[in-house]
Amino acid sequence: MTHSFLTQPLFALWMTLAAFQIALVVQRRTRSLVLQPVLVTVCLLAGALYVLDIRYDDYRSASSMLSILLGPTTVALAIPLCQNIARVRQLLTPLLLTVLAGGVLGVGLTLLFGWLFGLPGHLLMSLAPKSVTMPIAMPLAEKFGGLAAMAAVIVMFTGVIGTALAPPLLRLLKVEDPAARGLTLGMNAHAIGTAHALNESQETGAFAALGMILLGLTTALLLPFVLG
Amino acid sequence: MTVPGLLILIGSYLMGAVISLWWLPEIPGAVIGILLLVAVLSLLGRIPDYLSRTSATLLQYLPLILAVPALGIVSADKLPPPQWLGLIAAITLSLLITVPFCGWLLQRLIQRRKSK
Repeated sequence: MTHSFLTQPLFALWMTLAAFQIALVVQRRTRSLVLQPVLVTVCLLAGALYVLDIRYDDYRSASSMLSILLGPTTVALAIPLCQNIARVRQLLTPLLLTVLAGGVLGVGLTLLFGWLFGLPGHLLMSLAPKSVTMPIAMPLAEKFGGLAAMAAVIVMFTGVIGTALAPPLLRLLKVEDPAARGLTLGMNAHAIGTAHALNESQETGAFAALGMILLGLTTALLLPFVLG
Repeated sequence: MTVPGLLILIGSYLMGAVISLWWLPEIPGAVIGILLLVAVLSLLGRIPDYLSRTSATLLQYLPLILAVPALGIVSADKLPPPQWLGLIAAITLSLLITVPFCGWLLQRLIQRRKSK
């Protein structure tokens, strides 16, 4: 009786919304790079499932109301891309060259280091799309025998580490151009880097969003042919 | 959040999913959906106001929606600590190279174009 209450969709939704609200408040109060809303929400929910003894599969099917929106929300990324289409056209060749070269180098180096550290194949496949925005990285990892949830965690780590490393590294190489700084943040640290770029300037933020979407699309289009 | 906006976004996703299922199984349906919508909007030459409002609302809740699949990590096989260490090291080392490379390359290409 209690268990069927705990696994009904409205309770799952309420619990998820509560965890998310707490995560947003934590983010607003601390402004911390590490305490990302997804990360905090997942930790809180993991604790709740453990305490209430709910199986993840039950929670997942009760939450289909939310997860069903993931596809259409990912498609919504087309809108910020179109809003910046004039800038993309203006700098088309430099942008595409950087996204292609950086994307190939990123995936290649990640797989190389992962292999050197002796990671098994299914982990490497979850690791390959590490810099890609989460909604694109998860189905990609799954297509190649990785695990969507593992890819999600790796993407979060990448965002946090990339955003922390970018400012000192860019200073070292005297990269001051807002477009270059923004694209780098978005390409390497996806949404977390984009949020940080928005603090620098509007233009940096726009290019970060652009870098995130372009890298996501390029990786999704090229990875199948590289790994396949 | 508007009904026409949702119709377009869900419709684009469904079309992308069908194309992925039938012809392009390597590419996630959502990615094909993005490309379709970008193509249509470029032809149209503008973004309808209801569509940008609906997208902004949905994207604002992306972390909430992502939390459900990301939580799957609790039921995943537990990784031994050396593998976690290997993961973090691989992520950090590759970022140490790609971050400066991307910034340097784009700045260089933009400067070269300006000096022409």
